[in-house]
Amino acid sequence: MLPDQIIEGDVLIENGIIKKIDHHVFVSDSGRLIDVEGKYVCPGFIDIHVNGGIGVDFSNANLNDFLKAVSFHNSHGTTAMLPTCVSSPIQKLRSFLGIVKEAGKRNPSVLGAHLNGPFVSTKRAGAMKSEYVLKPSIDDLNMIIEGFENVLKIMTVAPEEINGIELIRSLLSRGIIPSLGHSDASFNDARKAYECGLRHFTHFYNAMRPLNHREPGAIGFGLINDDMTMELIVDKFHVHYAMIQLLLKLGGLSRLCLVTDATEAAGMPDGKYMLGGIEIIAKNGVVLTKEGVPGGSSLTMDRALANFIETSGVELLQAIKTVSENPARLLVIMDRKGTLEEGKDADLVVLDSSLHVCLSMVEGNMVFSNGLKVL
Amino acid sequence: MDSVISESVIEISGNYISHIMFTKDFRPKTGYEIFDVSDMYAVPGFIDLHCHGGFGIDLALNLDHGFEYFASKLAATGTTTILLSLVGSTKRNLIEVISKAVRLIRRGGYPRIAGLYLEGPFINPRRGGGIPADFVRPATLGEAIDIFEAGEGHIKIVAIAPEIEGVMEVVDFFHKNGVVVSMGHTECNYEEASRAFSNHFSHVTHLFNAMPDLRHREPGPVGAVFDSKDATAELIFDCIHVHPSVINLSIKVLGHDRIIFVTDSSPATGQPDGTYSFFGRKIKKDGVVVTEPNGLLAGSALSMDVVLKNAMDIMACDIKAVNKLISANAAKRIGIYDRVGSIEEGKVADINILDKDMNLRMCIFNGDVIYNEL
Repeated sequence: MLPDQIIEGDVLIENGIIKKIDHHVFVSDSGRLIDVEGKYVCPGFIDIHVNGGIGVDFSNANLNDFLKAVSFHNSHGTTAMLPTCVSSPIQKLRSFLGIVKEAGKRNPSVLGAHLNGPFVSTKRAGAMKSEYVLKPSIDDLNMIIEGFENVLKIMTVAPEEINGIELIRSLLSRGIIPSLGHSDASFNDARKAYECGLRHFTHFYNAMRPLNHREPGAIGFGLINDDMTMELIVDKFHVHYAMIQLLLKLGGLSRLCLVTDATEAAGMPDGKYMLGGIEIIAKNGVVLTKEGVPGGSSLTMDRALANFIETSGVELLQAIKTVSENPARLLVIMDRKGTLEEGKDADLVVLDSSLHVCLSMVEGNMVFSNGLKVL
Repeated sequence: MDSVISESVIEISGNYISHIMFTKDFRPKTGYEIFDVSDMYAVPGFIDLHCHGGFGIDLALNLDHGFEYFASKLAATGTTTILLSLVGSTKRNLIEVISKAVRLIRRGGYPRIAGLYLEGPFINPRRGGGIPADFVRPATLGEAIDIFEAGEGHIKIVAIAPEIEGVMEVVDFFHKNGVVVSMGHTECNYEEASRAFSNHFSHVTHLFNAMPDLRHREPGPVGAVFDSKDATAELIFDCIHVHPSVINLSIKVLGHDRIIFVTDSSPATGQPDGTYSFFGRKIKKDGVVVTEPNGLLAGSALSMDVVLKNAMDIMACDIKAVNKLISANAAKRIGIYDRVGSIEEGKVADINILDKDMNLRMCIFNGDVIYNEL
């Protein structure tokens, strides 16, 4: 699958890099041949918001378990991810960032971290413990990220809080992407954040003030400003399909980054699990706290993509951008990832016609395969 | 047809636009009065589909004595055609009001009453907005037939809440008889609204107002309109009822052909701040905001000339597009575009002349100058 068309052809991979894509690539002798005839070779999925999986909560895991959950998501086609941690005590956030840094050395699909807090709004904390929510503070930010400046990629913030705008400026100056989320921002609050450079939303529509016709809030601001990008949880629960259609009508396809927001319940049977110290209950694909507040999902990226195609009617070639190219653009890593092009990292996923993952590969390493002939 | 005329001469003979020619081709004829409006815009007369009154007059309650005064003041706002929006406290009262309105329509004159817009009585009392709850009744085919017959073919739009009991046969009846069935004053959810749009509902009464919000897990009627293929929607454009960014959002989603700007004007339109009576209740005008004692919005203090200015602001001064939303679309919606709604040869001469700042300088109705500040 090329950026703008699907061709029948071969992909030659050398030293973790896509060496050649063509209708027919001649190979000499060494190397392995994988037969993927009749299947889609797609750019690997990039999940910029994932809290865990297969019984492991990233925010509370040792390195081994952490890597297990990373592998689980690899097996569902995610070849790059930002493990995510909700609002937690500063020391906890530091140890989380430490583990993410270590995990990245062991598994290159771990690109860095997304902190979904702590500088958010207690009014829109969702399934977070509100005692861990902090007022925006540059000092606290410094404490959290000292030594991890290159690990933290995205930080979710509530710009309407006092010093929220200063925090956004500080993040931008360090090359960290500020993302509006868990926020009660009004339309004007969102505009102020936009004016100082914020361009992204954390799980758009969820955990923010609903759009009202007299106070459109951050949602209203985001919908009409088509240079803003947004995460979207497409699990047929968090967001009604008509609201996805609405985004698409507003030029949203190039703006959308599908995310899983997966908890440790992903890949596990229905039951009780944890998310950042809060008990959550997974049932029939929906994850709620005891109080009935949505608490992440049990999604994987392959499922998110299939749901998106099913509910939006967008074709695979276009839909794939929401799980690869768009997040790669956001993270400014299009030079290495996001599309299948010669010279880029060999991050790819092979899907059959029902969009099941048959193989996934991170920088040329086959991290998952199922039912394929290796010749 | 562009509906914005520049570098041209518009020749009016009798009630009609007889000829539109380039200025260079124009040769003065005898017997014609000439108005030089160089550097100005000629746009179609405004059409207000949703109008309850103004200048202190509550039209539904005061058609006999109030209409003439209302009309004498309206010309200065450029509205040439209206739908009279009516409510009635009881079935008998409503039928009485409709009969009076029909007589007024027959009489003719300014403004052109293109028909009647019934806001109820088959609406959801929980979303009555400015309409008193005792003006609302369960839907019955019997009442629908009686109302329709009293209207003698002049009822053009009926606002109905699709979720209320007994509504389907009433909707069928109105639809069969050529009445536009409009979703309004409703608490319906997305599913109900979507079903309604596939069952003869084709219009929405003041979209966003007097209905549930657009929510991400329950998009409601607003989500259903955004999702529908061809339903049209009114928007009250006073920047109070609906935030300008939400108007902008609606235009982006629905395009320029499916939105109709209306005033939903109350008696407070064109009046100084103060207290007025609307549907028999006290309302307070404070600037452009009109509220009931409980703080809810009760109609607007809008007139169409203000709508035009608001629209120019938000639509990047694209006056051709603005004209669609304040005249052409309304005319098409109620089937009178063959006569009004654009400036074309053969159409009725309803023309507004605007200066560069979009101030109304002249209003021509039916070929007659009825307002002149040139």
